[in-house]
Amino acid sequence: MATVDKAIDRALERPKPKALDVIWSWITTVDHKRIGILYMVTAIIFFLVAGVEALIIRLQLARADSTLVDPETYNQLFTMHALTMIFLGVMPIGVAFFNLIVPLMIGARDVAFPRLNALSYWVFLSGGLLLNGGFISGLGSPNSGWFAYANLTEEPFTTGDGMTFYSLGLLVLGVSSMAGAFNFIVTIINMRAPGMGLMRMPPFVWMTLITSFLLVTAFPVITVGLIQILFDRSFGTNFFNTQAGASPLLWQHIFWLFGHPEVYILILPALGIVSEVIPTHSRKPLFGYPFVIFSGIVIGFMGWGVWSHHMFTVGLGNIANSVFTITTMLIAIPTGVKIFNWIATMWGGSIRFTTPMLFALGFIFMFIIGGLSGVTHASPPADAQQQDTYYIVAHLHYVLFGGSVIGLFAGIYHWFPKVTGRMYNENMGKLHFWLLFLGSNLTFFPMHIVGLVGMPRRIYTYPADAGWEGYNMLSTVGAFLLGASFLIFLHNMVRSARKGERAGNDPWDGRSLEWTIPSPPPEYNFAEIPTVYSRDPAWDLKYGPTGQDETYRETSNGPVSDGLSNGPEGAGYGSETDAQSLGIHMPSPSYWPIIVAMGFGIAGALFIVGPWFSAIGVTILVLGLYGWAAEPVSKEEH
Amino acid sequence: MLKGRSTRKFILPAFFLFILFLLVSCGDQSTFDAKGVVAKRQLELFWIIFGLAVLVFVVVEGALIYSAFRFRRKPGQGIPKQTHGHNKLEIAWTIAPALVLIGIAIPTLIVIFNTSASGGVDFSRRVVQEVTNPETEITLVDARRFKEEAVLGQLIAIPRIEVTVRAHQWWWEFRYPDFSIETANELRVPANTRIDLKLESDDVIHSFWIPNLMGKTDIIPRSVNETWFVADEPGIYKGLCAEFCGISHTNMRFRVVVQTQSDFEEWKMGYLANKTAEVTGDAALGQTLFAGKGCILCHKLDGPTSLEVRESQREAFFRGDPVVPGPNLTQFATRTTMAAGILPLTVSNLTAWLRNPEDLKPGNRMMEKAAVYNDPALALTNDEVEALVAYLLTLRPPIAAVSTPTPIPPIGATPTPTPSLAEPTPEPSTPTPLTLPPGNPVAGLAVFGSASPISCATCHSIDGTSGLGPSLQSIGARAEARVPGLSAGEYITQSILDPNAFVVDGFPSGLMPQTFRESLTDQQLADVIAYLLTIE
Repeated sequence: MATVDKAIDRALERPKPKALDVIWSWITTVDHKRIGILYMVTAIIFFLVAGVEALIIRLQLARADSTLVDPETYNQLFTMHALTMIFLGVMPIGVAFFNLIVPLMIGARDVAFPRLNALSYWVFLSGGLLLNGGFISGLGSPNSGWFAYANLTEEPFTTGDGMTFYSLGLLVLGVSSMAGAFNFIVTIINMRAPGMGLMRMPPFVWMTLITSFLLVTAFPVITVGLIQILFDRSFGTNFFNTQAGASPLLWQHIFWLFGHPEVYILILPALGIVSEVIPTHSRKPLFGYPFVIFSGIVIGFMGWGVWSHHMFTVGLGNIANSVFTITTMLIAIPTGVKIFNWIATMWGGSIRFTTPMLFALGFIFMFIIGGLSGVTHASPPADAQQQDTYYIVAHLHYVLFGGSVIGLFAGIYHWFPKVTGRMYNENMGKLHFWLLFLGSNLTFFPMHIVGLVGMPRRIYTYPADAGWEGYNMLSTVGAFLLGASFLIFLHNMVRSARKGERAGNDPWDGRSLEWTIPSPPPEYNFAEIPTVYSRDPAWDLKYGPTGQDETYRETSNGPVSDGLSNGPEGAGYGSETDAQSLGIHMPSPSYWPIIVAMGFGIAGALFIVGPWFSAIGVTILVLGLYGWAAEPVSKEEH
Repeated sequence: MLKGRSTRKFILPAFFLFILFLLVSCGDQSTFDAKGVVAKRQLELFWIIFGLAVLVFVVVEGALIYSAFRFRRKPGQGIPKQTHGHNKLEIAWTIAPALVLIGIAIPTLIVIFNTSASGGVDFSRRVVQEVTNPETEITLVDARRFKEEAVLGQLIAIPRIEVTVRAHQWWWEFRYPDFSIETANELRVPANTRIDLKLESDDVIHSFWIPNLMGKTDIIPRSVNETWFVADEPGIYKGLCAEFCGISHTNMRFRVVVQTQSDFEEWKMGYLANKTAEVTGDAALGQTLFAGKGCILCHKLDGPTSLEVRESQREAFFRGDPVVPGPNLTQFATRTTMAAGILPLTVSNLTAWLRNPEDLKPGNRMMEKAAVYNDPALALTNDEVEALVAYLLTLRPPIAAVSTPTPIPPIGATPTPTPSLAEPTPEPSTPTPLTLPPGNPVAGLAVFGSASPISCATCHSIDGTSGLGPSLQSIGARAEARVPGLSAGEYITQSILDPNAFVVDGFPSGLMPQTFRESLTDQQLADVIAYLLTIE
């Protein structure tokens, strides 16, 4: 224990580092926790941008015949709102959790490829900037919807650079997602602590694994489509040029073959988070663990067989519509199984209404509504009246906002003490929840009705005699409640990260390994890699093999109990010397990932100027890769 | 606690009653106000699913809320029992949703087949067969017969009309192939008639939707989707494009005017007779302007546009020429709305539209392409707009032959010829032998620049540059060789009076007006021919 004490001393005496050094250390970091924080902060900033876009949309629609924004701007707004929320908000917040939590949950010191992990983040950032490049450069943002239906995306129907930014941005983001997903697949399969069999993995790790497999299988599909759009627009190919004989339906099949697994990419991390939060805050193990896990796997597979339910009205024929009706309805079964198991987990438990638990309950409440409205358009004849109306907008927001986003908030509050070492303000958290819960229902529920009474999607205004004004006004008021709730959230996070109470290792009486180490975890996570004997290793350490023995910790004095103080209390982020002093080898920082990522960004941005200019970016990229390959793995090898 | 729970018992039903109230009491294009068999089937299915969904909602959300409150942490509570699962329960709650879904899937599959274009037909036929031959094997679909026989029996008995819908950015073209009728943005159909729709698109993907009558069917370029609807009662129903199709997607609406059979026949006869109110005063000036300003290049006024012309207009759009497919304006003033159903047809709306179409419908092709909005020399003055409006409002039968209320008062005196069925498109005629007076080439030059309804110079250059029509450089020398047996003068005469008799390769047929026989005097004709023969 002497080395540990020394490490604490050194941590406390260390002089305050210079600002430049701090920035440099973040730029070159390969630590999964720091990369996770970068992901989280960046994604929340993008999330706010997309939220502001939504508020402008809601302001425009609050009244009939509104002229607040012109149609072109409106089309860019709804396109960018969807793209930003999906690819730059919800997905990367999920990835942030993969980074922050998965290695801790499986008892690993980092991910399998730390520099690749850094590359994922920096490529994500350049892809995000590229996707917003039309706005940043003033050349015009994408305006054909996030679904970008061909042949509307072709000349002469869409001119300008917007859709070029769309394809370039998403292509670059795809690189980031693929790199990250491969990294997590390898990490989860290879780097679990001894004893953690696949069926002992925490559900969140399972959902991460499934999501990662979906990412590496779904993104190649959209990549093909994006390259086709890009080539049609920039090099005059005819993939979607109907004048040259193309069928525009090809794009719809490509897009939704990617698009539906993408929906599960957005929701599965939230399902995983809720499967962690509910047991922890009910003080019970997850009910029906194998059923919850297999439901997730089944959803992952079935997600590939339902894409045509986005195309029930395109005229694929009775047989195709019937088949996709049945596959779509089947997918409701594993989803239902998950919900029943969460309720059964709470049954007989000891539920504490902390902020994360409230969000998890809110998630289930909203997700049920979203799931049920989903069943109403699994039926093609009913869907014929719902497709492309606000009813669909309502459904998708109940699932993606009421589902994914609320689930991710549960995770943010749940792991905030672990990541920052401090507690958030519980009252503000609860206020955030109730405002958000009220706001989201007020925003999205009236959309069901206004859709069924005939209001289509993607219209920039509507006539007063349509009778939709009341519903739209309600939605707008709700949207501003949501906006207000985010301000409370941001205030709470920023303030608590600096001034919150010390959280300690285990504020929630947690069940999984991350609660056995200090908050925030030291750079090397685990001073000693733990051995796992069950699905709830941290719980067992506290309450014994039965999980019921409240006095177990005091009475037992085996080596297992040491796991609870795995690593020096209060050491925070150690420098490399800390790890070294413990004899732990950690990877060195590297600036090559950001150079390679800049290569991607520059190549994309210059493509707009002229395709050949992107050779400059490609050169940077290739040189970066050489530098990366030639870089010694760690300082010792100099 | 007890008291709280019993109030809760009433909250949910009250909530749903409130929603139901909102649903049925709302709007004139509500899907809840189904006015035809297709929309009714779709609505029934919605209610079935909605009912089951409410049941599931109450049970599951109830269980969620109950267990959250029932098992909240009590002070001093110890560790709850660590239960890990229960296999029988798992099986039960896997099967239960499956049963609910089967309850939804069966009616869904039935409705899929009997509301689809082909399935609907087959089903109707089968019902008739059943009636005549009761021994026929009963299939899954037939099992529903007992409930639906009445409706479907009617369906097979009622008449059918075929309509081809062609969607354009951002307006609708409706063709009735059986009657040689083409109209735009207003679909007129008789009630209790099965309307078989063929959906085509000229440019991008659109979606055809009449909330009160039928759900959506998308319109995909390069393919034809088929669907159908029946309207139970006369009325005006709103329709719209439901698939995002570009900047004015919002402004792509239409009306379905459902009439009684006899009113529909009357309208049809009026259209086919194609007589219009008397054109006097302002309207007469408007008629001249309509041709002279080039409106006529895209908008036809006298019956359906031929498919060849439509195709050549479409090609012209993709080439970037200033010609595009435009809404057919035959009997325009009988419509209730204008600019693809976005505004009621009134003098002030029409005036505003002609002054600045971009204001009402951003991105529209008329603003983008028409010479009057792009060539300052041709720009419309206020007087000219007024004249055009006056003229357009004469495009209606001279008597009040249309039963649908239209906001337009009749303009000018109304003589009362009986509408009669006329041949909608003139037969291609053989050139009539003409004896023309001697022509004066100098006077002919003036005619070339000012002929009515549109001057020759609008489309034909004399210096070899390409226009909408072939250049007339050295036409005198080439005309001789065009058609065997016709001299240069005869060929030119034929080309002016019957432009479709010989069409130069690479140029569309039917674009050139066929009315010069009426609008030019013999002397003018002789002069312009004399002039053409002198061009080198």
